[in-house]
Amino acid sequence: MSQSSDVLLDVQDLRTHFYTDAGIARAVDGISFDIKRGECVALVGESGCGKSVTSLSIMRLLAMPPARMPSGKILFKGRDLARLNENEMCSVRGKEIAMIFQEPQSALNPVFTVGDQIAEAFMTHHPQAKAKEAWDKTIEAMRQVGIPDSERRALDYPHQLSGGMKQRICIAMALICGPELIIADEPTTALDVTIQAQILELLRKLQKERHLSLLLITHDLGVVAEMAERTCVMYAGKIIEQSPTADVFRRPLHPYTQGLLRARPGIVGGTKHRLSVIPGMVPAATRFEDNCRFNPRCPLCTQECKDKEPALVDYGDHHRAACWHTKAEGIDAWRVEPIAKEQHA
Amino acid sequence: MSDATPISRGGISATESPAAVATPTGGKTPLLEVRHLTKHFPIKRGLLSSTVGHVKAVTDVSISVNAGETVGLVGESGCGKTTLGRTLLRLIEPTSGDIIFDGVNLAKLSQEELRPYRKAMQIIFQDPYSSLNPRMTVEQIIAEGLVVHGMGGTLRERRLIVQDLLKRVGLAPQAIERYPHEFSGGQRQRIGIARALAVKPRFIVCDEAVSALDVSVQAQIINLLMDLQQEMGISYLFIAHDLSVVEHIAHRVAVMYLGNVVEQADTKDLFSDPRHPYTRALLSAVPKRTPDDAKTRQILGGEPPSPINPPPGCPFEPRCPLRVPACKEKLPDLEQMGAPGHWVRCPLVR
Repeated sequence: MSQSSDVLLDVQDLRTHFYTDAGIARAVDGISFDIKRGECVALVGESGCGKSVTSLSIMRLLAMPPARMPSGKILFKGRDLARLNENEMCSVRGKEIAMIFQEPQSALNPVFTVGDQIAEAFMTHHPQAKAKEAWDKTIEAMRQVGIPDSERRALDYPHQLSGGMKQRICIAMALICGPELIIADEPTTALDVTIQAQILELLRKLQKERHLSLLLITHDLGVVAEMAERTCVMYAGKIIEQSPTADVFRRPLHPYTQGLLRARPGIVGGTKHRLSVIPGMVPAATRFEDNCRFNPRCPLCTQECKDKEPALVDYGDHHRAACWHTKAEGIDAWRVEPIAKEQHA
Repeated sequence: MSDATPISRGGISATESPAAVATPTGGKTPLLEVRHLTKHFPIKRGLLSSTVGHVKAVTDVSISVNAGETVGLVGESGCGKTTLGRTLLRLIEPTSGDIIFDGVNLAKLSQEELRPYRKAMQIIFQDPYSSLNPRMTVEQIIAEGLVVHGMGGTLRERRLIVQDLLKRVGLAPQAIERYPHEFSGGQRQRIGIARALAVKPRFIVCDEAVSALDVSVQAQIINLLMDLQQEMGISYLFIAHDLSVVEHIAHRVAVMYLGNVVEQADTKDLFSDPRHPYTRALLSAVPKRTPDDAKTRQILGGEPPSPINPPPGCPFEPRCPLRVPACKEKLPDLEQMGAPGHWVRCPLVR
């Protein structure tokens, strides 16, 4: 990753560990990626891969303890967020970096009107502002996220709005202080597919108009294909593949990425096929070892994979993967050995 | 375009209903046939609980499921698909309509008479966390149905059956002594499947059974369901909002919107030749599979109206790109269009 001036966020060797009774859970364990201005980068992976912990670490929203960040830099416009104190962080949060969560119903306070909640976000960062100004800004933000009749809707309580509308409210709240980076953690997972299309379209439009950077956290490869310029695939606290998005789909290099792409249902070539599955399951975060963490589930696994951790290697076109066995032309891990061990999942 | 013979109209005799005609197996009697099923929930207000309106969750739905067949039911939240699934199991009492299972009209039976049929019809729920009792062991969970229906013989015999079921769904037989919290989401869904299988059902409603799972686990469960169907000839009503899952698993698909079936067809027809404007919008809203896919997107504005006071006429009219004034007046009938068994509730696309 080149260190150029238009890099907005540069995460370097971030580690977030949780100290629990069951041992140290290395939920995020040395990941590095960057986001340029106006760019959308996706972090994709399954439950428990550390993608949400990554976003919460960037926002410094984790309780410490039990969480600890033993290493890593989170350079936002050159400033290391990991070193800021809580007061300094408060002026970044919401103002320069905003976040959109998965479930709009739990992200909103049920006892305040949505207008009040959006205005509160503005007042927090503009304590001198007059109430009238905050309210005008609120109505304006609601209009921009496509809420019809926004003067009236601003007086509604969250339960009076549909899921799609609530997510629009959350987006309005994220936008109101004019942030440069938005972290969207599964922003459409709780929504229906037609509403998902509306919200994705809205995010894309806002991103373009305001030259926003977007860190999109999702498990849905379809959403990644729609939105992201670059993609990082996470597995067990590590980024195991990182590339311009189109190339991940054309030439997935890591066996896990290949497995994920193949496990997606749908008709391929007009015939029904048995879905490929990735046997086994993700190890518990307290049991991560310093080797290839995918090795127990990988068809290409050798002794090397069990002993040593592979580094991210560039296979051309900024496409990097961490695997001892993959090749630049893309080795087809799951065809080499047919899948016969799915039972022990 | 239309080689349709004008058949079904709203209130005609049940044998001519789309469900009865639209089976791919032609003359075969379906295992389950739902005719004109309606469920309207009363809304009660005030001291005397007077009924002030109805939530029209399911209105005049007719579908059929053949032996060994999977029928997909898709639609957005609130379209009535879950209510339909539960009503046809009589977990919710229907307002009107017939549920003919294996020649018997379940809608007319008393709870007592219904009991033997409960064995034949099971359900798998969406949320593998809330659908298993946390205080019961896996053995108790799976064997409960056997005990209730007096199946499975002695305790020891039942244990063997449970262990066998666990093996079948890909879990270790030793799991019988463990509790649900000791399992991952995918494993719990397997327990839910084993519980449904225990009483040897012929028909299972899968209500968003794979929606809460990660894609690699989802693939395992889909494969398992398809294997079980092949081995045991089970029929599924597969309720889902994820169209690619339905495309993969279902033989036929019904699309619901605000309590009505708006389109019904063989899976291949539906996905290659969607007719109803809502179906088209729904398919176009699915994210593309790869960034290289060329996809023209038609973004549907607005949201489904409330089922409490659905608009008169076609429920999709307020959002429909094709709407004409006549759409407001009367709910269109299901008409056959294109391939046999392809039924569409929209005269504008005929």
